[in-house]
Parts: sequence; structure tokens; C-alpha cells
Amino acid sequence: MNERSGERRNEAGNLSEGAGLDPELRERLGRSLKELSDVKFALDEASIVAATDRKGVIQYVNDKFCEISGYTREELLGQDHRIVNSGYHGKAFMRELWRTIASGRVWRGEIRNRAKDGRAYWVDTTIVPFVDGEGIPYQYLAIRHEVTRLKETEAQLQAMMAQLMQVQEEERRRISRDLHDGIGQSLFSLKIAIDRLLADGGHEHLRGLGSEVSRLMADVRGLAWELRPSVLDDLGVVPALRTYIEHYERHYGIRVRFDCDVRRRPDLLAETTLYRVVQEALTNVGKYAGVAEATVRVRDLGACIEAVVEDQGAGFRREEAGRGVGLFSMEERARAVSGELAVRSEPGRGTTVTLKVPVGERREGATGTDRAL
Amino acid sequence: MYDHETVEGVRKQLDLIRRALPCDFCALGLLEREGRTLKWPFVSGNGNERFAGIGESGSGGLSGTVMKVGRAATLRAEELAAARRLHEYPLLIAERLKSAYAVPLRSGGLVTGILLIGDRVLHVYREEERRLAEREGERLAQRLSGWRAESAEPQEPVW
Repeated sequence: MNERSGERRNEAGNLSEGAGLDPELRERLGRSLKELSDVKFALDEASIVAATDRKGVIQYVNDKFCEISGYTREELLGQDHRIVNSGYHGKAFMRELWRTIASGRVWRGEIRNRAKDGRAYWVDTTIVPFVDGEGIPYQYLAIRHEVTRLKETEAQLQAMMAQLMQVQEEERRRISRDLHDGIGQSLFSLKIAIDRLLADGGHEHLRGLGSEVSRLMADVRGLAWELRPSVLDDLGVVPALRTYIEHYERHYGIRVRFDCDVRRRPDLLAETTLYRVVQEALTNVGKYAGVAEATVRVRDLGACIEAVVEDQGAGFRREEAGRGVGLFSMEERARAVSGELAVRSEPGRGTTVTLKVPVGERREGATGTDRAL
Repeated sequence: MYDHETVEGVRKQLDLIRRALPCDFCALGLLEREGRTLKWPFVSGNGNERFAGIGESGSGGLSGTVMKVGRAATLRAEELAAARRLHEYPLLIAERLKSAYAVPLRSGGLVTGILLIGDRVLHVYREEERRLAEREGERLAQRLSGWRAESAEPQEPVW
């Protein structure tokens, strides 16, 4: 780019010396060139800039490019961008990039590069192809801004979210157990004491007290179950889902077809994720879909387990659903276990939530509480 | 089991209430036999059949508030959604009610059921509407004294 604009400046110089040129035209030309070089100056000040030929060979880099990459201009010119490639992005990513710019379209995205000293840095990148009369690119201009800090913060935030969800799940498990083993047991003793008094000819009013205590026991059990069903830890995700679905059907009056071929127990983290995401998706069906029927399919695909929650109800448009906390937390949960979550929905045509969770084999002898979540 | 006369009588009364108020929806909830789950055997103005499958229990929702405390309550779907409690009110969701007023039915000093009136648009129930609902609730309670909703198979509690 330097060379090219340099050439132009020479041309302009020649032109200005040239005889017979309209002075007004000459002035306008001069102004345009001044503007052009001002814009280039501003661009170089603000961004990391590089220009390559159609094969990707670097022909120009500005000071900022040299500064961030740690290479000198001499080291960069004549090379292609492989020199700063970090290997982070797959072949498909690069192919898509080249396909876009080679067809004359602008490419935008975030790229992780590697400096000469091995340091990784992230750049928000725009690549603009300059095309000739036939629409074929003869030069690519890459304008970048460093976003390393942003990416690091993003990663930290995600790690925090994952940790937060783990802490929440641990806390739920603890409170659930305390309710069950503590208050639940005490109430049970109380109930037995009342029954004994009644058997020994105690006052008739004790009978009413007895049924109050029974009701209280049921409430405590219900609370513990809602927080985190112990069946999830003791028997695994499939029985836990079955029980959840039974409750769900009775609560919402929605029939759920549950179809499951999982015969093994994945690790606890995967089980929790499967349970919570299906729970969240079904809650959304109950609240928004307006249907009397839904389907839950859980499939063992070997390296991963797939859970699909499907309804033929109201559906929604993603951008109109707001940042629904439900969708967000399902995505975060999936991400925290390196899983994938896909939500397909269209107004009037139902919603399908698909979760894929990679699963390791469960360690033998591990129990509910000593496994790190 | 309800005899035919009772069933028809209750249905007619719900229709009457719905027209007299007027309101979009009217339902009678009763505790099923073991006294734990609130079912909705009688409705008027329903938009679908989901009410028949709904059974509410536990410490939240109508069973945990109106039934337990024995006091009438005004419900607004928007407020419940904001407080993340709307899911505890499946009947409001199934019938897409925006506003509702729930009155406890008493029999022999115990709360045995609920009369719920509801609207699919935002509605503030005036004093005379609330009084009408409460009066009708008493009449229904008398008619049904001794009756309990037909229960589904009792479920083992799950731990």
C-alpha cells in the first residue's frame, strides 16, 4: 500500500509539473491525494494494517503490525500470514475465510495469532478484497484491532459462570441432604411418637396433629426433591428424568413421551448437565409452548449423549425471546462441559432443543459427594 | 364419585358465575382424596383440555398459599412471572390467564377447595366482584360439602 500510494504521489508530482493541465483540476487532484494520505495516516495510527497480493504474500505492514507481532518489516514482507499463525483455528476456518475474500466479499472475525516470542494475541479482523474490473481480487487489505484483553476476560467470565453453577449445584445438594436427613428424620420421629401416643390411648386431637406432621414431611420431601433429587446422585440421570417427567406431567397437565436408550451412567457433571438442561427446556415448554404434548429423547451416541426436547407449539424468534435466562443458562451449562446446545424454533412451528454432552466412563467406587462436580 | 346431579349443578353454577361477573374463565379446584393434590374437576370457559391433567401440590402455588392460609388472593401473571413463580400456577399458564382471583372453599373448618375466576386480559377485580366470588364460593362449598375430587392413583413420594 505504501508503495502504491507512493507511486501515486509521484504521478501527482509529475502531473503538477506537467504542462497544459487545468490549474483547477490540478488543485482538486492535489486535494484528493492529500485527503487519501491523511486517511491512510489515520488508519495506520488506529489499526494494525497489512496488505497482501492475491496469493496472500505480505506486501505492506504498518508499524503497529510489527509492534504486536514482534517481527521487523523485513522479516514480514514477502512472507504470508502463516508467520503469525497460532494453529488455533482449524483448516475449515481458514478455508471459509479464503473462500469469502477470494469471491470478493469482506471477511470479519476474531483470529488468534502468535508473535515472534511465542505470545498469543487476539485480533478483531476485517479483510477487504480490492477487485479489478472483472471482480477478481488483486490485493487484500487486512485491518485489525487487538482484543486479547477482551478475549481473556470473556474466558474468565465463562470459567466463573461454570464455577458458579458448580457451587450452586453443590449447595443445592447439601441443603437437599440436610432437609432430607435432618428435618425430614426429626419429623419422622415426631410422627412415630404421635402414633405411639395414639396407640397408648392418647387424646383424639393427636390424630389431627399426626396428619399435620405427615403433610409437613411431604412438604419437606418435595422441597428437597425440587432443589436436587437424590435419585440423580444415587441412581443416575435416567431414573431422575423419569421421575421429573412424571411430576412435570401432573403439574402442567402436559403429556411427555420419554424415549431413552442410555444404559450406562456417565460422569456426574454430564448427568447434572443433562438433567438441568432437560428440566429447563421442559419448563419453557410448560410456560410458553401452549401444547398438551412434548417429547424427550435421550440417546447414547458412544462418545457423547444426546438429549432432545421437542414440542409442536408456539415457538419463538430468537431475537424476540430476549436474553431469556433459560436459554442463556442452558448454553452456559453445555459450554461448561464442552458440550453443544442447539435451539431451533420458529413462530407457530414448535421448538427443538438439542444438547450433546461428551461423556467419560464413570469412575468405579465414586459416590455422590466425594466426586468433584 | 360425584352423582350426575351434583356435576351438572356445579357446571351450571360456574357458567352462571362466569356470565354474572363477567369473567373469561371459572374453575373449581378440590383436594383429591388423600388430601395432598389440588385438582380441577370443574371448569367453565376453558380454552383447552389441559386443566384435566393438572394437579398442584407442594409448598408453592395455590396449594401452598390460598389452600394453606385459607385466605382469598389476587393473582397477576405478570407479577408472578417477574417473581419467577408463574410455573407454580399451571392453570394460569394453560388457560393463558393474565389476572385471577382465588377464593378458598371451607367445609367444617377445613379448606377443601378453591373457586378461581380469571381473565385473559389484565383485569383489576373490584370489591363487588370479589364479594360475588366469595359468596358463590360459599354456596359451592355447601353444595359440595363432603365431596372430594376424584383422585388419580396415589403416588409414592419420591426421594
